[in-house]
Amino acid sequence: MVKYGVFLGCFIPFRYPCVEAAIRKVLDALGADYTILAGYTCCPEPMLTRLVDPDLWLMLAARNLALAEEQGVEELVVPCCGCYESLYEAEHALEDEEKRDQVNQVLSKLGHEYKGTVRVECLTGILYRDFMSKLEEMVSRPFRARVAIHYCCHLFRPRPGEDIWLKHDRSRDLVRSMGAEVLRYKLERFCCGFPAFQVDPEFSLRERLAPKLASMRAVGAECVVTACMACITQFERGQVMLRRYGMRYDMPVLHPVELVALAIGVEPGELGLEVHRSPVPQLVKRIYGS
Amino acid sequence: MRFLRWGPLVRQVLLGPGHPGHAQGGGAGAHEAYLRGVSMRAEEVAGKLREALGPKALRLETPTERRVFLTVAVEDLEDAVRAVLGLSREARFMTISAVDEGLDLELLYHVDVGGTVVTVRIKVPKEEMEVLDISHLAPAAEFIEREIRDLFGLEFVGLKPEKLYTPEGYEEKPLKKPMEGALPPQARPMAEALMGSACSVSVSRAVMRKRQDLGLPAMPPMAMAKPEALEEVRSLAEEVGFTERAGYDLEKKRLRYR
Repeated sequence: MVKYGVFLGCFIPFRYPCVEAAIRKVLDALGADYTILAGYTCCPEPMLTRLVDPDLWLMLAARNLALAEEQGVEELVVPCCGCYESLYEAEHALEDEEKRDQVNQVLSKLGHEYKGTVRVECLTGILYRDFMSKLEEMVSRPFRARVAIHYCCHLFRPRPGEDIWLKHDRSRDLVRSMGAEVLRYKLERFCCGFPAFQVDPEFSLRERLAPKLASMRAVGAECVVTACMACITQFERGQVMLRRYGMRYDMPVLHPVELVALAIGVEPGELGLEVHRSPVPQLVKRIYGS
Repeated sequence: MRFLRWGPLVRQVLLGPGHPGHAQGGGAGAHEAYLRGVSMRAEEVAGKLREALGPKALRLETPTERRVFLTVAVEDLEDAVRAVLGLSREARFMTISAVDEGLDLELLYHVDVGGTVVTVRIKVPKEEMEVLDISHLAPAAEFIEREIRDLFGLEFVGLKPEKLYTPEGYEEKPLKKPMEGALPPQARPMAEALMGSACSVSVSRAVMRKRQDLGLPAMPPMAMAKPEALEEVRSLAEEVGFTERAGYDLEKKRLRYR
């Protein structure tokens, strides 16, 4: 058995390898017992796929969960909130025995079975729950910046009886313990606009992203931190696109695990932060002077 | 009184040979008795068709006592119609219904077999829009085939070229819908990416180089790295009916529409 199986998803390896590098370096530094899940597919993406074809969504998600069990994983650690929602919702749906049997009838034709033993958790939740005190000891270069956290909508998926803000509070405390000042900007619950971008880009950018960025800037935020890869894409691509409407923010956008990696002493050059489309390297240079 | 001379022929066409027509003093009771003698219930019809067509009968449904639906492949249409018409001397071709489903044109050939209506169902992909003319088996089919050709643009191979419904020089197909499947435009790139690579984003060589620069494996351990895992994904999609619902062509590895 291995304690943690990391589900990398699609965006992290192919759009943001800097986040994958940070995940590996942080887990290695913590001495975590982990493996990268092998043979996985897209989670699948929780908005279009689940709305368009819920049967396909559940089947592919169940296959990913079954692979985690086959690879001896106890907890499936998901760094992206979108993937987390998809896999957690599937785990939840498959608690229904009848549904699980139906899914297993199909999976068994390909030699798989989902037993319902693996538990899905988000990466920030795991870092807080299992490694917080160790991480605090390991902070060697505090991330001294004023941070606005975008609490991704997908993370509002509490387990039965769990506080709906628990994961967000943990994200905030994790970021704070890395030396950052976490600002309140009043639009924390406001969606970044990524789903709306699929049908109305202008609405998504001007009516969702721009107000959010404006309120972050108004309280003096130096960067945005969010754990959702779709939200990171929206913040970065969106800022470039907002220029055509005469709006310029130049707000760096990071995943919390990048911030953790930097705070515990990983060299910025080892993370490849230049793949970001927002001025992350400039922010890091300002904080660390290199 | 000229039409009286046609009486026996009309009776034979409308009531079938051997029917004890009213003119011969049979009466209503004789007509019902006749129907009881020649009629077949849906289950019996389905059994005979299953026997005659074997695996060519892709699906046989009997929703009521007097209704049978037989689904066959386009290439088995002639055999199916021949089998249905051969069920009874009284089998009578009724008409063809055409339904434009977006990606396919569904044709329903209705035949009355002694009071039980048998419908042969085929689906013609819109990429082909061609099917065999059956007027050599049922001459009355010629009219409706010409009508369907005029209104939907479906070609019946072997059918005489004259139009029936629309004027010469009018080439519009008024009942033909655009080639559209179930997926909204926003979902199509995602569906193709998912079925093509089991991943929702494209992979570039630049990213793979960047990954190597960072000390990561060029290709993460995803399904796309293993052809057998990709096949699993496509099998699952087929098994849950996604490929049919969405109109995804597994051979060409793309949606049938853009």
